[in-house]
Amino acid sequence: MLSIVNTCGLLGISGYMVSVETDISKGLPAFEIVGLGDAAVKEAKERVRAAIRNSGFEFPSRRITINLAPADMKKEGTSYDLPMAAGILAAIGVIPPGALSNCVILGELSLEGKLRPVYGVLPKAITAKEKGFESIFTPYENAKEASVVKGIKVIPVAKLSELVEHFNGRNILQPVESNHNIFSDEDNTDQPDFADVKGQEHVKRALEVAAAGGHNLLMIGSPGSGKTMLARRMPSILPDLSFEEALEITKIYSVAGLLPPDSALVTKRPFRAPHHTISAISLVGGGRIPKPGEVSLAHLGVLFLDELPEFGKNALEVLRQPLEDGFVHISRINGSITYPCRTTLIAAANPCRCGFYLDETRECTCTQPEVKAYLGRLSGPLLDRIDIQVDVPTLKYSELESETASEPSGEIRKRVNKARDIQRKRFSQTGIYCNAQMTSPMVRKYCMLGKSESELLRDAFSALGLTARSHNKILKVARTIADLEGAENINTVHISEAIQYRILDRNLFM
Amino acid sequence: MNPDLKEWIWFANLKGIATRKKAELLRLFNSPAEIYKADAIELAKTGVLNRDNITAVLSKEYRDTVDRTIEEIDKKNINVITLNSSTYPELLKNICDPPICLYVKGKLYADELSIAVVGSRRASGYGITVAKKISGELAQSNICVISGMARGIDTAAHVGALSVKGRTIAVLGCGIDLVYPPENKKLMEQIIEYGAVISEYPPGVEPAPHHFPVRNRIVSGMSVGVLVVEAGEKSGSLITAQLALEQGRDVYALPGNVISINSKGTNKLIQDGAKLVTSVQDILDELHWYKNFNTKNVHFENNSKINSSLDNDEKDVFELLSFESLYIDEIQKKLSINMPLLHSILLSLEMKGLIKRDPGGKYRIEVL
Repeated sequence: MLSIVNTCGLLGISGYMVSVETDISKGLPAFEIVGLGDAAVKEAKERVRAAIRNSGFEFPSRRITINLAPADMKKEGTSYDLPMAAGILAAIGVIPPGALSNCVILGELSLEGKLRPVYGVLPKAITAKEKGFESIFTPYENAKEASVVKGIKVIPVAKLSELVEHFNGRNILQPVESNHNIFSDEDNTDQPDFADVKGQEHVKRALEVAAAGGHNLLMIGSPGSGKTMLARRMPSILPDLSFEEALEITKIYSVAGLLPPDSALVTKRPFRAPHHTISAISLVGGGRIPKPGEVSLAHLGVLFLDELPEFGKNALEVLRQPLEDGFVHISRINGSITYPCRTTLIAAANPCRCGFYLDETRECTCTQPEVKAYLGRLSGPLLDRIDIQVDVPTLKYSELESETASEPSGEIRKRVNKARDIQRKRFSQTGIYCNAQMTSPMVRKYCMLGKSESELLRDAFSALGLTARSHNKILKVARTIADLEGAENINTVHISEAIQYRILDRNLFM
Repeated sequence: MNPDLKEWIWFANLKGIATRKKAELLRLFNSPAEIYKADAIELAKTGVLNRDNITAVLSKEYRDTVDRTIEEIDKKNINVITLNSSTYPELLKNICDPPICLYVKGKLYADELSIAVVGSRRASGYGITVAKKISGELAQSNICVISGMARGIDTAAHVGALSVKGRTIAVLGCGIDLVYPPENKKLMEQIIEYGAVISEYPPGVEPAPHHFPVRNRIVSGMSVGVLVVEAGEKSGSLITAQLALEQGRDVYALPGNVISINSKGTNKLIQDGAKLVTSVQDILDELHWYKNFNTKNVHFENNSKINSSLDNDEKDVFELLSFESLYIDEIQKKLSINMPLLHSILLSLEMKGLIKRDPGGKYRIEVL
């Protein structure tokens, strides 16, 4: 007897349909799973056997063969447990054969027949819906996540026996209400806010510009000057998250297994701050079983690299391409995987090894050549991808004490949203969405300068010893500053401010 | 040209013999030529030299290198002024360890009324402003400003004197064919044009930390007084002040904020009896009895050239920075100019060469 159950596999952050074909025939009792399953899939045998028995059904003592089709793609994880169990029960007639054709089933089984949550449910639910399935059965903990998808019934299951009852028409399981209204007002309450940061007005301004134009930013300052504190608040001024963006972030977190149980969408922009000892692979993604790396987990959010010069050379090198392209491509023998990673990079660095080179209160113990060598490690292609560089001076105590209130993130975000709207309109036909992504021809087209502006820029280049690579970056940042102001054309004030954000080009660290 | 030049240079270049001993020897032997010819017994008889010194005097090595030095001097157009020369500064001749040879570019006079203006390398806006102002006014009073051409106050002193086309002399701690610090290349050319650059080190000698305290005795030795504008607690300028006292020169000091690190040294000098200086007049008052003092009610020009080319906001920022170095946030708070505009003001001032942004983001007024 043969049965077919539909489930989904994962490739990168998208799902694909897998049919679980179960054949039970005469012969010596045996249980075989074919179709390139990994160790977790092979071990499913024991879980399925025990779960069926412990749910009060008889495990057929005949020759059982299960094929996971398409059979040439690797299958990973434990979400095939429930479809296999359902397949066996359908093959012996416990579940009526016709009942399974219009639904997708997934979930991990415990030995007593209860269901456990699995990862990657959101992309799988999206695939199921796209393929026209009517309903999807998921473990309870994953139901909320799947319910984000419109147009498919999401039915939570607590244990195997419930599923059997449901298909036999007794105790019909109820689908969860779909919740598309994920942007409730509760967000932003526990998020760090710029109102908490005293002083450092010019750094805040630089972060605002970075948020408005999608520019990457580097902060240089002594330990304790508040670099990390400022970076943590960056997500709070990034433009509001759209539903599609939230969906995309959630997919990545779902695939990485980082979604907290019982959560629906990720509604906040992610902030990822990997430690500087991180390996190249955990930074950009990959591994034997490919997983998204930190740069993808920061997709549409902020990737914060504290102590940038301390990161491994290799890790920083592999970061270059993803930052440029906005995606990571991982090639494997049987197919390749793409993880998106359109992230804003915020990096922080001490001015020297001991950190106190520019500090006025503590003495730096580095020699002059050491100071030079420290930030020298950063020069080159990585810095090419960082448009804005700012100093973060150590705050004086009086400033910490001051009572003047700082501007809350909400106000800043309003301006950022406005600037982003202007950019969306400008780039609607071009396939990019913010100033930082402009190519050279686009810079020429959208960053036209008047006579006095060109003169200023030319003078600045000769007077300040700017390098050629900063030319386009200054124009892009100036464009963003003009957008923040709602100005049609870039004027000299915009250019001046943009020039001030190129401190490393100006050889000020000699 | 001095016929004994070769022997003079040879004698000056001898290492391991203190300048004080060399001066003593010169008194005993009349000229280096005679020392050049002297044998070991004659040298030992003087009782001035020890065994190693005598070996050095007799060694072939020093005698061979002189020719090379002379070649360099000719090639690079450097004048050598020896202790017996008529243009050797009188005041310097009278210190206990005068340099045997001075390598000179520019003009040197024997009896010139000079004041040394020295101070910290890491100077504040306040120090730079005052150093420039007072040096300019000294120069207008026909007084030569002597300093060490180091970063910070020294540079400001030279710049101040040059701004009124006055005379100024830079005493280097390296060979005068080298430029140290390198950013002062243009300044050095100007000093040579309007004054002189001098050093006791032969051409090609690299700057070394131990050269500078030795150089300082020339700075104070050539002057009738030393003005210390800003000095930290362990500043080299305090060594200059100490040497000045030993040489019987006046020491002047500019008072400063008691909290500022840059003024700890100068305030201490005042406590110890240095004359507190609030304007150039305080120095001029002390100089009347020098025979070559010929200042007659000079009217000091205000350096208003700068101000006329600036708009109001720029002027405000520039004036603020003239007294202290500040971060952009601090400037913004003091003047309440909005941040984008302030960026453009600062850039404009920087491009005009009036202010400079230090690593770390602090703005200060430019020395040059």
